[in-house]
Amino acid sequence: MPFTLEIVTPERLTWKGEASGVILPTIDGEVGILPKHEPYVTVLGQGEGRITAVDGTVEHIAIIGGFVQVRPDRVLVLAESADLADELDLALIEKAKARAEATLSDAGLNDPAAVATARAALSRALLHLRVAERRRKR
Amino acid sequence: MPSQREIRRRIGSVKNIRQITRAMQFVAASKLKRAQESTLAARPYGHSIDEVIADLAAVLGAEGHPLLRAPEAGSARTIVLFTTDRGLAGALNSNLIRFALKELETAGAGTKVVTIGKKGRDALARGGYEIAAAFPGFGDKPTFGDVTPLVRLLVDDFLAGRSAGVTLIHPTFVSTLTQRPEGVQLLPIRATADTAGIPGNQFLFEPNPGVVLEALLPRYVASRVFQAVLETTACEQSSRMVAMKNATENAGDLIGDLTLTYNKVRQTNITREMIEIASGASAN
Repeated sequence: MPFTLEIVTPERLTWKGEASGVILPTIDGEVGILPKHEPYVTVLGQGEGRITAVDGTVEHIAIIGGFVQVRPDRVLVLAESADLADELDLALIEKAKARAEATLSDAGLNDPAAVATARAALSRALLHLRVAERRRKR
Repeated sequence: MPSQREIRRRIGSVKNIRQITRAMQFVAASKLKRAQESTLAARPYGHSIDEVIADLAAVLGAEGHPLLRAPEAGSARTIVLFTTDRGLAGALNSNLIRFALKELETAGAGTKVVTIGKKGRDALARGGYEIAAAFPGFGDKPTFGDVTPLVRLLVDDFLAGRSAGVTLIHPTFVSTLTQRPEGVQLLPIRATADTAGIPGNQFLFEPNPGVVLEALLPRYVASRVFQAVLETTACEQSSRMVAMKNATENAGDLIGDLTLTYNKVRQTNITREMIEIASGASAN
């Protein structure tokens, strides 16, 4: 018995369809949601998620922050950012990574805000890289 | 009666204007399409977060978080006015500004004003209002990250007690022809009653409801602000498209009128010259 899975971000609807399972990164580790899960809400962290669609295909997805709400027939993921492995652009990620690394080596420790922003950008780029790798292995 | 040359020059300049307004119309139309799509794309997120908040409010009660709490009397509200950076967008900005001025009159003294977009800042500065903060517009392709500084300012002021609440004034996109200015209360957050038939207390919150609410509310505020930004962008483009379409049509009418006058003047001149020649010939 599949459930309806929706992954939405403030900018778009990333994924919607029937799924037979989904694994999501939460702030306390990964959580796997299967059909007939009890009503549940939790805070998402940054990491990699896996959607098992109803036809058995597995989609990898990079998720940063947000929530998941599980209802009896519907799982709703409200993420700050969510990108499917197939949508990630390797060239763009490499550029973002290089930029963040450059800022980190330039800024040193003088500007805490810039360092924090660059660290966040770097970890985001690394996550996107990891998820994009999944696509190539398949 | 103006001279032929003068009329010809006017026809030429009206034609140039028509070319510009037509180009602006088409640019606005293509930007509108994108703006409309992103506005629609953002709606599910806003709606879903509304639902989760309603569920949480049912568990924790209205006083569960500082952002939900009604403020103490005394401090003044903050009004955030969304306008565009550029004009030539029909009555959009003037409607918004008029709406904001009315709000400011009823809101009483001490109300803080934050403006987004150059038009609102200029108008309120002219009206003698003190502007607490002015942000430039967010451009044609606003991203969620763009609104973060604004959100942080609003939330920090509210939590520190410097503002008693926040009202957003932004246009709402009803249709391509209609945009209505609207004032919505952003803070304190009013939980909606919509729980879609599932009582909130049936949910299991992990790690606990407090932590979830803590993480959720700032995002809720950000998503509401982002929605307002998107609506403003969509309204700007649609309003400009319609205004420029009218301008293009009016320019066409004007060219028709001027061409008619031009022909009349030309004919009059020819007739006059003929009479002059004829009367000159008969005088001999």
